[in-house]
Amino acid sequence: MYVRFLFAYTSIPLRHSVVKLVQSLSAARNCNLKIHNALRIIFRDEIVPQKRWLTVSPPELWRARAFVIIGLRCNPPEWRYRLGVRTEDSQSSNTGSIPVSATKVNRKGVLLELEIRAEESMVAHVIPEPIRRKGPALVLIAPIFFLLFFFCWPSLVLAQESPYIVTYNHYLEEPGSLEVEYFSTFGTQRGGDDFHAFFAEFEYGATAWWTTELYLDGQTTFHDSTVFTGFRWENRFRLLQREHVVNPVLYVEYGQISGADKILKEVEGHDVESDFNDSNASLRKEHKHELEFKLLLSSTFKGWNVAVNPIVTKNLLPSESWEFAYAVGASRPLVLKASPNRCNFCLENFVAGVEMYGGLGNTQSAGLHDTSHYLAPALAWNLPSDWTLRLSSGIGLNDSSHRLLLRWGISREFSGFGEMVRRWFGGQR
Amino acid sequence: MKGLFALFRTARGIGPAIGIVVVVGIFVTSGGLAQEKDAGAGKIKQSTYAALGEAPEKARVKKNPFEGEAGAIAVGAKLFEQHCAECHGRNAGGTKKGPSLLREEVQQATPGTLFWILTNGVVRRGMPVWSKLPEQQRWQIVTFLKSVNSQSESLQSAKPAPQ
Repeated sequence: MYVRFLFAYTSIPLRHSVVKLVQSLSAARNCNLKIHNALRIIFRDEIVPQKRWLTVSPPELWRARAFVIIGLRCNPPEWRYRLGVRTEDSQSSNTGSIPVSATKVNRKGVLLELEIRAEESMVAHVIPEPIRRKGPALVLIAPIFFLLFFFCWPSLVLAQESPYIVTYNHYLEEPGSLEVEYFSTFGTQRGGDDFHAFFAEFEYGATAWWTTELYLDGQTTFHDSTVFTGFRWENRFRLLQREHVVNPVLYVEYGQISGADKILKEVEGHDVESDFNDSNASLRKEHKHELEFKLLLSSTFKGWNVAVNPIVTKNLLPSESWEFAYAVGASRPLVLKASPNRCNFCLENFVAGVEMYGGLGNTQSAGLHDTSHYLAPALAWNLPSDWTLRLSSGIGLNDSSHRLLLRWGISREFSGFGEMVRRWFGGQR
Repeated sequence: MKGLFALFRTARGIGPAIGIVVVVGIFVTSGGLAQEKDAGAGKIKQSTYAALGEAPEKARVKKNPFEGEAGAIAVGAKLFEQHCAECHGRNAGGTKKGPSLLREEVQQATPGTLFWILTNGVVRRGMPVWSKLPEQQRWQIVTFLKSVNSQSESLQSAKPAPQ
């Protein structure tokens, strides 16, 4: 077994590069299996069908691991280096047939990491591509747009939002009201670059028992790029007319997102931190069409709200298995009695809570192994001017989790929105 | 702006998203709110208040812990304006979205009944559940509601007679 590196397109960007093979082979070593999202399909199809790789001990599949570090002496990190690998037996030069590619770029250089199958000869190409410029303007423009829009709407009602960001309780949007939200998630990433994921949410109370929401997701991975990662459309249906000790709400969501989606609104199945180690360009190759179902169980007693959300997700590809997850939360207003005056800093406007969420495996491999879990204290500040600010600091509970997921969000409720739109469509006053 | 353009260039799936928004918007705003059409202020049906009669006996006889407290009325007024006035009107006289709370049916109801309605809502008629408000705040609203009729009457009598 040998590894040979061929730099096919290196005339300009790698003119001053020094290529160093740090570690090539470690036969029969128990490799650390960190398989990225974008690679799962490839491995599943080529090596082990039905994701059984999760249950197969690594030495059966992996015999070696190689790292290549290309030092960049003069080049600013404005190029992305994609490592293409193909087996020497294959006569095709199509990089689509490669078993793996991974790229990490930082200011010092580029680290290319290979996972090599046993008994194969490989040829590697380093293919430089321009890195797509980051879009900080979007990150600035979007909140400004929302702020301007929000300030122009008359203030009528006080939102009474829970502090949860991942967990849902059984309270739906008031009929005819539109709630517009902007949320950010800053996440640390070991073995890669930190990221800032964000989404806009439009939540509309269709009836007192049905709320529908649209999410538009995007993210910026530092030193990489800003990408739109997809949309999700969710619906929540209240199943019982009245309040009970436990109140069930059915949640159905359709999502069309890419593998680069990092908002981590739910952590499902075997989602782990290393899924995001790849570049955005690589992660975006994976497209997900998902259906997600949740049973939102929620109870309120003496000011306390406790919510439990079992989650089931199905990628609509027939070969994909069902994934399981959970989210639980508890919250309480800091003060239960209201004060007579409108005030911003009254304790009654603050709701504090904590939520915990994580994956529970999938139908092929249910359980807690190779899953990530988070514990997140959260706080909501419901302002009398209809604004709600939310802050949550999620802490990873195991080695597969991001160390920190810092989330914050701002939302504004527009009561009477449905009536206004109905008038646009010719509805009677 | 480059970032913005780059984002839209890469926005795969934005088309279906817009389509979904439009379809949902039309559906929801034309049919989904149909229940409100019957609830015009002048067309309130008697059955609108039928939910008051559905409160169980145990709920009806509950005592209002804030009964008669002037402070609770003021707080209840604030809460009513923040959470209820959008549908029931600032003076609780009703709008096309919600019935009048000055009617005899409401004013004759026990505080426990009103509290039960607030807690459970009348979901089939478009009134959401308000148990997300702490129990104390719901009682404060009830306190205000029980006082609102006399307040509106005094307001009416205080108005100068038309010339």
